[in-house]
Amino acid sequence: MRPIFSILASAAVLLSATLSEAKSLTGNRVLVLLDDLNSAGEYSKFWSSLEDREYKINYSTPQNQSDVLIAMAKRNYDHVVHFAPHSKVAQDSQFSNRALIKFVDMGGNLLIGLTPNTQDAMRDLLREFDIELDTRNHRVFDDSSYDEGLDAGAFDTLVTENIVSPKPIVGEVNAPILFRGVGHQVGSIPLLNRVLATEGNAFSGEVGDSSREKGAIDLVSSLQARNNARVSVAGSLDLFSNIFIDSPVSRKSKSGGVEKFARSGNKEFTDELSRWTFQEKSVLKVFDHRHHKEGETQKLETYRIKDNITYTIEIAEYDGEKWTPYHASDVQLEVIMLDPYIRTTLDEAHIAPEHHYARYKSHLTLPDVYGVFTFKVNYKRPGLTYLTVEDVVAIRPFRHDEYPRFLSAAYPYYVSVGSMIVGFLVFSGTWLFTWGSREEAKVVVQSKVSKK
Amino acid sequence: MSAMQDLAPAIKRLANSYQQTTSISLKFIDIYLVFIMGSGILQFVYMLAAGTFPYNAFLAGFISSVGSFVLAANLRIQTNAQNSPDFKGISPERAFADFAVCSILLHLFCVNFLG
Repeated sequence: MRPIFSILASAAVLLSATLSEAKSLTGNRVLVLLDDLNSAGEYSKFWSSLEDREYKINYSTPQNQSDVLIAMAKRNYDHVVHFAPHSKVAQDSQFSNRALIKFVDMGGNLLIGLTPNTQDAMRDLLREFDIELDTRNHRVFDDSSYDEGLDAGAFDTLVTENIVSPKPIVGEVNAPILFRGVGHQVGSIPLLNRVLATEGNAFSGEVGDSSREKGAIDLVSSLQARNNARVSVAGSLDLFSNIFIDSPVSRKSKSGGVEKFARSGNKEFTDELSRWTFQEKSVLKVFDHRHHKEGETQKLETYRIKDNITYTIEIAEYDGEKWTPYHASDVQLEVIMLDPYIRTTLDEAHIAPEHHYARYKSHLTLPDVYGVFTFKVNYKRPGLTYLTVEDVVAIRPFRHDEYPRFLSAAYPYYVSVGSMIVGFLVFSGTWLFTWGSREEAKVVVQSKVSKK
Repeated sequence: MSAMQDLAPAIKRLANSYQQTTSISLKFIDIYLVFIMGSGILQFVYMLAAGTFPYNAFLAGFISSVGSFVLAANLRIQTNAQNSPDFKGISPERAFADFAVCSILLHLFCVNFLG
């Protein structure tokens, strides 16, 4: 008994140690898939940035079938960096589209890098995420915003500062970003967010193409699945390369001169993108949610119609190190029975600063309808973990003794009923006391009738 | 004008005939009926003026008036000597007992519903 115990204990210690190390909330096991293992060095700065953030990286190729993504219904890895757009993958491969989709379904995160020569299998995978890659061998050109140092005269080494992502994914990057690769179009599913786009004058086509449909082309997009697994797709592998990360940027400015930056924003951008994709930031969690009658503290399963209640929810955001209070003004509570009867904004309440969560509160009067209701906080914002919290409560009507009584407005009716009773008693009494005279009267009437 | 002149003696004759031919017990019932009707009308006017809240109290008060009126009217019909051929099986005692029991039941219900 004792050895098993100690093994368990040490396992628990190990587990907690690994958990506390990882900056990602999902885990620290990363699988990097490359077309050619020798090319790993081209992205060494990106890998070391990941390693600095406590990730354990395994390098592999899609052809290497000894590495298994999912084994015994459990993920072997927490994150996959898929930098192998040129590899042909068999249907039954360990890294087939089906396996990758299943990996995402099981909560794994996926970071995908592409080139203009991306294989069809990868294009099919992207369609699963509602992303349509531009035609094979088409690439993005921009002759008004290209890097003069790296570009070889094709105008395909773009310089862009057009970060279109919601704040939670990639905030601000201080220098322009270098990009060489393929563009895509995003579909209409709301789980998908555009992150990086070109600056206006770009177009997509083959080298030497003359047809130019100009407009902002999407270069990087991110998707957060319903299970909060995250997928990012970058149309350029060079985006992550040492050359682009270290390169200075110089481009023609709109005024005609030359804009120079000592270093591209690629490091900052790829770090932020990988932090978001690997669940290191913009992760929300509900610490507690409760409801009780105004003036009480006990959580009830049954409330009465028109009860005044308080609903409280505590939300925290993960910043890569610890949980911090999540501040927002758009958290809403719905009281639903098929339709929302009440939809109200929850106000942030002041709590002691040492708390690692923010508390939101609402005081509300329950609807004048009885039935089974759901208190629901359904908080889904682009780039942030989707939160759905539901409590089912019964709302009952007034009991027979809970109605208000002795209302002043009802006094005339009380008097009336009372007077009816008194009237009945007085009438009956008089009637009975005059019983004899009634008989006489009848006789009188009869005699009068007979006289006539 | 001539209609009014015809009407006045008609009313006078009606009043005279009522005075002379109606028994005291029926006159008692008539007074009781007038009192009930007045109470019912007052409540209805109050409801129109003050609104239907609390509706259950209004219903209890009004139904108590209407019910009392109906019961008293029945008593009047059944104890009227002129109607005795129609109510051969119902003696005035029996009619009064019916009236009393029904009134007590009615008032119990009304008080209960008054809230």
